[in-house]
Amino acid sequence: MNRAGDDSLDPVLRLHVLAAALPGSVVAERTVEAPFDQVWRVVTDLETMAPRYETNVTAIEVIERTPKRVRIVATLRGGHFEEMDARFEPGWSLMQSRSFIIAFGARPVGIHTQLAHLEHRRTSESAQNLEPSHRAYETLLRELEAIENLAAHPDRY
Amino acid sequence: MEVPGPFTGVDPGVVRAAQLGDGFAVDELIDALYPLVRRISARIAGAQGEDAAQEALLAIFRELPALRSPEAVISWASAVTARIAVRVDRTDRRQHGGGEVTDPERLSSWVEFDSLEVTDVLARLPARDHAVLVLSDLHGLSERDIAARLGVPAGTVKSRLHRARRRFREEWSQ
Repeated sequence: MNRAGDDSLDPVLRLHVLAAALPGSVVAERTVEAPFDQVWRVVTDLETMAPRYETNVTAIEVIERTPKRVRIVATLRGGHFEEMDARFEPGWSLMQSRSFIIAFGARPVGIHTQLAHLEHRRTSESAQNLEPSHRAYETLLRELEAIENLAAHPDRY
Repeated sequence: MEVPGPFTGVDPGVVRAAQLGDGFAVDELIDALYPLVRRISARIAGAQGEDAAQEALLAIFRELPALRSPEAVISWASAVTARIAVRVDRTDRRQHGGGEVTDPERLSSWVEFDSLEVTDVLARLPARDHAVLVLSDLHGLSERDIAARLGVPAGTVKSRLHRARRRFREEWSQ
């Protein structure tokens, strides 16, 4: 599913373009064995689902919501709070704080979903805590697997 | 000749913010540039236009920090796109055993957007080649009209035009 209009860009490709603009960002991608609608419901359910798939997040509170923009406070492991802006379109999610950028791009592939995930540390301070890229990549892959489990078995949660 | 479509008015502030790693600014700039990139790619690379557009977008945003004048983002992105689309089209023709570009419609599309890059490439052509290409593709004159204007036989115009298009393509790919 693309964003509206003929000139819309495939969200998975959009994520890779974003990564091209953000040196040091880490991207993982996989075909998730669950329908697009279910996958996207999980990805965008910030308060209930995101703490279950985002490794470093223990809780998220939505403090302001407009049709296309959400302001949240994420509680990170270790007790830090991170205030983030989030924008959503069908198949596209972009969240940004002073320190982090997190994005998801998704499109249907038959009955399954192609899902890409990006993480980027914006500041030298946050980059100091950066995992080696292969570990960061493995973390993102685990998060994609968690999303797949949540989307494929909604009855279990 | 102006770039067709609503490709003006990209806020230089958005470009600067994107260069500094603001994700929302990058997102906004993708929306602003993609229609332009897609249109140029389709004109130059034809059936390979989508592949060319994807490759061009990645290159544009990878190279964005090197852009010194955010106000020039449209012409700069046009030039990057055109260069990549020509390469993609050329590679595709080689893989499928194609020869020279002889399709005037597609070739004229190169000069349809009047970027500095196009002007620069035209300036590198020999004067005779430059003249026939501009008269044909920018001014739309027929080979007979060009022949009359330059005082040479129509057959000479035809061969010069063929050579000019080949040289334009080669210079563009440098």
